Amino acid sequence: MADKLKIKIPIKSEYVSTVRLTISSVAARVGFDVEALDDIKVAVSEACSNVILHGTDQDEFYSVEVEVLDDKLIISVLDNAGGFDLETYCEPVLDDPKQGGLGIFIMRALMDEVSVHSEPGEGTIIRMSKYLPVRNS
Amino acid sequence: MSMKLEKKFDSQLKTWLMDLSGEVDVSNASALRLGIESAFEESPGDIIIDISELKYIDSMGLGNLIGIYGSMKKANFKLSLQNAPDNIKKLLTITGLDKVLLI
Repeated sequence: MADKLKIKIPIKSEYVSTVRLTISSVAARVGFDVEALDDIKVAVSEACSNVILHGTDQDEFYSVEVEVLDDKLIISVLDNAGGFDLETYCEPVLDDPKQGGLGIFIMRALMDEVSVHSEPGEGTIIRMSKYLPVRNS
Repeated sequence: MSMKLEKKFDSQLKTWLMDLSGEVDVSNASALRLGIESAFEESPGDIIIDISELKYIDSMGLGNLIGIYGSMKKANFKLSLQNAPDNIKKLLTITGLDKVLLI
């Protein structure tokens, strides 16, 4: 049976580093290497920043869940902070970089699976998986 | 979460030489932007930022850097990053920012 951890955090930017370090310590414990830990830290931070940027004070807290499976880590960032319209999301044009739109793009580049579900007026769930490297026995 | 930006203007090169260290995320990306922009307003010139001691940056920090890059470009100045650690070089490459920011 998978272990599952859940943390509840105020929607404040100063706690993003706490979340990032907590999740990376779980990832380190299950055997991810340094490069994968860096990927996970950035992806988690992007998801948390998304809550802070798009939050509309409908809720004071958001949650981060980590499921530790045999072959992968699943990280979910859940909020009831108002959601946003995914239809308006534009992938960045790499030949003409702009200030916004990098967060989801970076999450998708660094994690093995990423899904984003957002309901305007409700909230957002970002679910990301990273597979453990296959061990040769 | 701590970030340090050291700034020195080379009047011969008319270039700002900066050292950015620590971690940059949503909590301090605006402070980074203000720190760089205030220097540029004080003495307009190119800016070269050494990031060899930068441990962490995400899209909030990178987004602010590209915002500054864009406004400096309009004024015919250039913002560049140098000595990126591997983890940050990877992010710059993924986002295509290596082509415009890295020297």
